[in-house]
Amino acid sequence: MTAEAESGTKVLRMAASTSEDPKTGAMSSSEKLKFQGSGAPYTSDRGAGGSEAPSEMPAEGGRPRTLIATDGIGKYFPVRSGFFSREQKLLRAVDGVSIRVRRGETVGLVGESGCGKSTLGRLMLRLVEPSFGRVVYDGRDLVPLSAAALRPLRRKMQIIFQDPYSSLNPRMTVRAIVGEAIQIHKLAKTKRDEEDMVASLLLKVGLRPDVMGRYPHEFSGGQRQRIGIARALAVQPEFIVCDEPISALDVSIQAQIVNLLMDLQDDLGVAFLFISHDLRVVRHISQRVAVMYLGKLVEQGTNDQLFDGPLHPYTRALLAAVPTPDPEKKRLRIVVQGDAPSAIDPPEGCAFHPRCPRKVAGTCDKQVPQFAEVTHGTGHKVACWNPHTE
Amino acid sequence: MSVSSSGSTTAPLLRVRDLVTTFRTERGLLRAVDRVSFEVAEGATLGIVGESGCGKSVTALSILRLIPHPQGTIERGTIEFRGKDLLGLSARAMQDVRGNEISMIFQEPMTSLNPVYSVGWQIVEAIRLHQKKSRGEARERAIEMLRLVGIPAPGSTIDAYPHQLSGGMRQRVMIAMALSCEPNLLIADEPTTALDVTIQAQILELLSDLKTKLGMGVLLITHDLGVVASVCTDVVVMYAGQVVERASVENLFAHPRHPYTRGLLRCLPTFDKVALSEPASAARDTLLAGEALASSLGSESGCAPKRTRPRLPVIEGLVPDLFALPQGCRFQDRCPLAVAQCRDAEPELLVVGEARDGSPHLARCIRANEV
Repeated sequence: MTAEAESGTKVLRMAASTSEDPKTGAMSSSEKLKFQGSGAPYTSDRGAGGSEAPSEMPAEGGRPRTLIATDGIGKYFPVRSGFFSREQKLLRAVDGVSIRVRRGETVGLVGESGCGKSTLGRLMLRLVEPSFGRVVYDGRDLVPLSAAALRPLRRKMQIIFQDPYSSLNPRMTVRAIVGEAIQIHKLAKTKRDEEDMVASLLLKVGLRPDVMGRYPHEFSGGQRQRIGIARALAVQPEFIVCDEPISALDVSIQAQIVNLLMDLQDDLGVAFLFISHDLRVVRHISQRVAVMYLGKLVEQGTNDQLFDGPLHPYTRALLAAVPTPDPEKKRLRIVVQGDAPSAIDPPEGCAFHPRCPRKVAGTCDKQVPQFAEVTHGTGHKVACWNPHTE
Repeated sequence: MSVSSSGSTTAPLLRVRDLVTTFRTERGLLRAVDRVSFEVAEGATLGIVGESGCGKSVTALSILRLIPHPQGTIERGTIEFRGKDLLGLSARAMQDVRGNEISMIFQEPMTSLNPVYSVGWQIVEAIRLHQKKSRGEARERAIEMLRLVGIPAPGSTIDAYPHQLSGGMRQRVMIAMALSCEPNLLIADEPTTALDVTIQAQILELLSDLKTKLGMGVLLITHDLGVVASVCTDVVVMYAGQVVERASVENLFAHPRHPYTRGLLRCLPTFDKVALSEPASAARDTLLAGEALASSLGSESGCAPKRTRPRLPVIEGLVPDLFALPQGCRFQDRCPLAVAQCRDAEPELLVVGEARDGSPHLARCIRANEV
């Protein structure tokens, strides 16, 4: 029990360090209502469609297939436009997203930085308090749960962080960092067992076991990330949010880690939300993929649907921008220009229209497209007025 | 004398010969860069590829003589830039080369920019440090550079602070700053690693355009072979401080001659459906790797779980400890082709072929012809 309590506080500490502003967690119910109103196109559609509604999960052998699902989840961060300004604007980091991860499945989540994919991952773990919407884990809505009620669930959900510099305690040895979770969750019988486990975890992530006595500052960024991965893997969780877990690693090690994550999934049935901007890796590791742009999903489908027949111009642009390891195809294809617009004042209509090569004047810049299947029954959804259906 | 990509024989812009850079550490003397040689021709882009710790960044810092003192020393070799030996220059003369004739851009645009000054102030400072220009002239030049790198509304963006800009915009500012003195050589250390793919494509395109426009040579340090294929003309592959392969980009990708290069190319996931549904070799490789790992750990679980999905081919094992390098070839422990001979003596970097333009293809492997 104490072990559980400790793990809970650890995760909470993590939560405190990752959520941008502690104040934003507490929002009045009137604010919530206001948010819900503006997120309506997504939430209401989802409710009526029913196919993704987490409350109606099909049961298989008595257990719901869906491990974790969000229902119109959203997070708005209040931002001040200037230091002394009274005017408060809202940054719509995540704006009514419904996404589902089945047991033992990997869902890839791709999008550019600032599109809200990391926030969505943290919302699913309730490391960030949602402004509206629901998160259902194994049949239970996480959002109304108290910190104490959440604790037993915390140990089943882990996160691998993106930034290896801020996610490791500089005063702890590698042995202590990786061993801490093993101790807290009482996964080792003896000190000797624990050390063996730490050693094997280190080997798995591509580090020599003899580095155990060293401190994080003695490692390169890539090596630190491996320590972080070893730490998350140590407790054998059911669901791991992998937030750009391999972007800091070397190519040969990336392949090892991707294989390792897949092995873990096969062995332990762990489910992943694999957040990445590396589309090649996402294609390799995921069963289903969701593409996010400016806080909303713009396309979602199975791996093959999305990579072989992308419907959204943004998905196409992302795929085209990946450099091919073939010098004969030297020219990069730049489909979209410029940066993604700000999530504080998102463009009217479809958020992608200012960069879109296929925009339809009068429609795309005026009306928000619905996120829906193009062909009924395929499960391949897109939010676009002029998708690539030909 | 090298042959430039245009085919005419000219002195290269940069010629590094037998460079050895060492660091004094608590564990002893570390040879981070070990007899590295390469050339960058005018208008060419040389890619240096390798894993972290292979010495690629130290090579770049050595060229600029930015190795931290006193623990780091350039022990041996020559670095010839436009005919002059950089290692023989005084600190003062070197200062004039840095940022002026040779510029460098770093991986992390947030930590390389000073957060308390506007980006314009920082570019103006860089310009005025190297060129006799008034504040007003330097500002004009800075705006011009920001426009050149594709920053919208450069007249107002110049007064923005780094935190107000996105990662891609910051990297553009870094490039603008690096190019503001029209260097002959640009050293770019992982310039797009921190960026999104659509922004990466824009930045790489921008670098290619500027290279053509300004006629500069580029030394691109990266771990991304996709980036190398997209923008480089020649490639150096480094492993454990040494050059293990050097070739034109076409040769390297079509006919890699070092097992390490081949391994790097194979472990890249592709969009290719064929590669994904043809897992035979990949699955076998991983199975072997898994077994090796399990046996080396004395794994108590012992059960072999089902592998339903293809795995990526991997290069087994780890980069060797530079303090405990094996006798012979440094790649031997990870090499699928290793034979007894590989442990006897360190292989030389030998000519194994040539590019279309006649430049040599070098590889440091005694079995290069079998790769």
